[in-house]
Amino acid sequence: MKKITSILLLLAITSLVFAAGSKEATQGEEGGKTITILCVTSPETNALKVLAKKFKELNPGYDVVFNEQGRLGYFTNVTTQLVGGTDAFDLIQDNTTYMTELAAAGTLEPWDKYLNNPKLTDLKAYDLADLPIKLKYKGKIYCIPTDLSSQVYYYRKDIISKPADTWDELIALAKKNTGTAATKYGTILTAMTGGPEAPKIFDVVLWSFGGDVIDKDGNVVINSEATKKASGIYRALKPYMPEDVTTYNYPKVFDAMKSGLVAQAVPFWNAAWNNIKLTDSKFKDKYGITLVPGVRQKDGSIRRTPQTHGWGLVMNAKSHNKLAAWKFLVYATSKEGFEIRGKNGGSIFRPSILNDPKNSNDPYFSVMAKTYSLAKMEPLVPYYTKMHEILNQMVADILTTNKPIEDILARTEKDLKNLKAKYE
Amino acid sequence: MYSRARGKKLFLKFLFYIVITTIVVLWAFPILWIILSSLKTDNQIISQNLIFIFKPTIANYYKIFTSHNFNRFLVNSSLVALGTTVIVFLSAFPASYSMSRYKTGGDTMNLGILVTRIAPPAAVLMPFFIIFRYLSLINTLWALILVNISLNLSFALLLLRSFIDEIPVSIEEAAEIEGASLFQRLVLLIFPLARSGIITTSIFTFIFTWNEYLFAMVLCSSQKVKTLPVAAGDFVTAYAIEWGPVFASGTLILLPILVLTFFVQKYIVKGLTIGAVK
Repeated sequence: MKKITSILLLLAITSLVFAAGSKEATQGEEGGKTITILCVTSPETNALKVLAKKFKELNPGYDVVFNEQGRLGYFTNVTTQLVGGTDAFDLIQDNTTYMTELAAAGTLEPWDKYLNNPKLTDLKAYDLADLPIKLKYKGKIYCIPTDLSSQVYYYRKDIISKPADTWDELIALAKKNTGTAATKYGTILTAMTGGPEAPKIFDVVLWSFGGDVIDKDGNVVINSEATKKASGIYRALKPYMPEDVTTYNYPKVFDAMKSGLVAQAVPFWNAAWNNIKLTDSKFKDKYGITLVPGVRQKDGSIRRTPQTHGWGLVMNAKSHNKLAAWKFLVYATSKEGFEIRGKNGGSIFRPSILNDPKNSNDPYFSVMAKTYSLAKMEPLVPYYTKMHEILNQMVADILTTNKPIEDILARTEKDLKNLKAKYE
Repeated sequence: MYSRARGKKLFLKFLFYIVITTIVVLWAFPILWIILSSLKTDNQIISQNLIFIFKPTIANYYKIFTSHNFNRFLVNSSLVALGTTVIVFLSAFPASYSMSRYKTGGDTMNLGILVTRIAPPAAVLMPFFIIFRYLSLINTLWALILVNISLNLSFALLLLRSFIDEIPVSIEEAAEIEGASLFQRLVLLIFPLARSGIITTSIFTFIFTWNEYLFAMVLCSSQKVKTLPVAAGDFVTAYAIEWGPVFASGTLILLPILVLTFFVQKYIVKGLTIGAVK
């Protein structure tokens, strides 16, 4: 009996050694045809998978392997992989806002030499002018996003007949629709501290008042009248939002929309329009979509200032399959690629597709065409993540304390200037 | 008079059980909630009303096994947890014996062992990644086994040592007089006597490894070597949380531990209370 137990134990350990040692198919050499992608679980990735199927049909012998991972810790993983010098992935899906730091660290492959090589890229068919966003660092392109995120305004069509044009109108609508039979909260926005969402959403309000965090010359300009006004809007909206609004990130706001908890979600991400349609929420067809509110100008126009950032594939500088990876990148960002992904959960931002009359029956296309034309990106600075930490603190203080706005802004300005000085 | 005293005693007993039941329910509620929610639809999960009566569905389990290869992840997690536990035991048992009986390393060794637990895991993530990249161990289960050994060995050493300290040296001396070699004493005498300590240490090592997330996420990103906690995290997508599959995978992670704990709970309690009463 003891002998049998010993043999079984030995067998178990031996099989463990072999099983644990098994490794993912090794990467090909330079010019290999297996493209390995590290990506986050998302509708965009699902759309990329559909695209990859078509890519493989068009390019026999090529293979695309997706290594999907959830949102939790994804950016930690991306940074560790790239800075640690991994060669396990050829392409990595990342948020455009983090790319400058990764490019500065030399972990990303610039696209220019592939883009400008006629043997590798048919520039005329690719139509670079139809791609308004290109991620550049020191004059080189590191990414053309596959998907572009921006903010729009979702409102319950069954209870709000006319959505707000200005922030003041939004406050009035929020007040009117708080604690009613139809909805618990009048409005909601993503204010969760600790990530990139709260500062980006604050930008939408801040920019509409003509303010900024850092101006085009690189000066810290957060402590301004515009920021005071934007902060005032946040505090005015506070009674009509959940008390723990600083814990609301995209998934939580999205769940609030799905469960009919809120009358409005604004400024909120465009991805929710397609995402909610994919759910079985009984409210999924009750939301309308329009442009984010803004500030009325003297001439009567409304200054609306959505923020934008993208999700895209970056090429790992240590990849052994750069040519194959490039082939996939070009296809993913081509017009055909956008159309395939757009039909399968991706977000389209090529103006030629958004403005195509055949898409006019879906309000999303016209709202997004206008939104992208108004939207701008945050400054791509090497201290981006740390800048967000400071801005997160500012948003948290505005929403959760009674500190005077002037004090909050003075401290934020000081922190930002100190941070900036470290990078000069 | 007698019945009054008895009544008071009964009342206090009743009160005691009420308090105990309340504490148990409070502690068990999240686990019960995970298991119940894994059998609900998405809408029932996010409903503003607490739903306890509902028609259960196995759709969430069906999804994680059919479209997300949870069979593979289950095997991976088992291999890593079992592999780590076996190696930690094989290393920690003789080492803790040596530390207990021969005071190997003296107090400096104890301090040295404790130091390995001081650094937060995130701080050593990058060094581990670079080391394993050079060893070509990225995306292999060996990377996880090695990391988990380093994370758990110190704890296992200290815990096992305290168990061995409790075994009287005189028993060993008697065996030595009878002609037992060191190896025989270790295997035939100390091993059975320290059984509850070995089981406790192994269970804790298994649980810590089974639940480990950070290193598993970074060192084993590929689908082929993914472990259960990381796979469960996949349902926290970029834009939404797929609550049903999250709860189903959470239940899958919980159940083996719950079953295991149920069978060996007396050893765990003993392990946690050793040295408490002399």
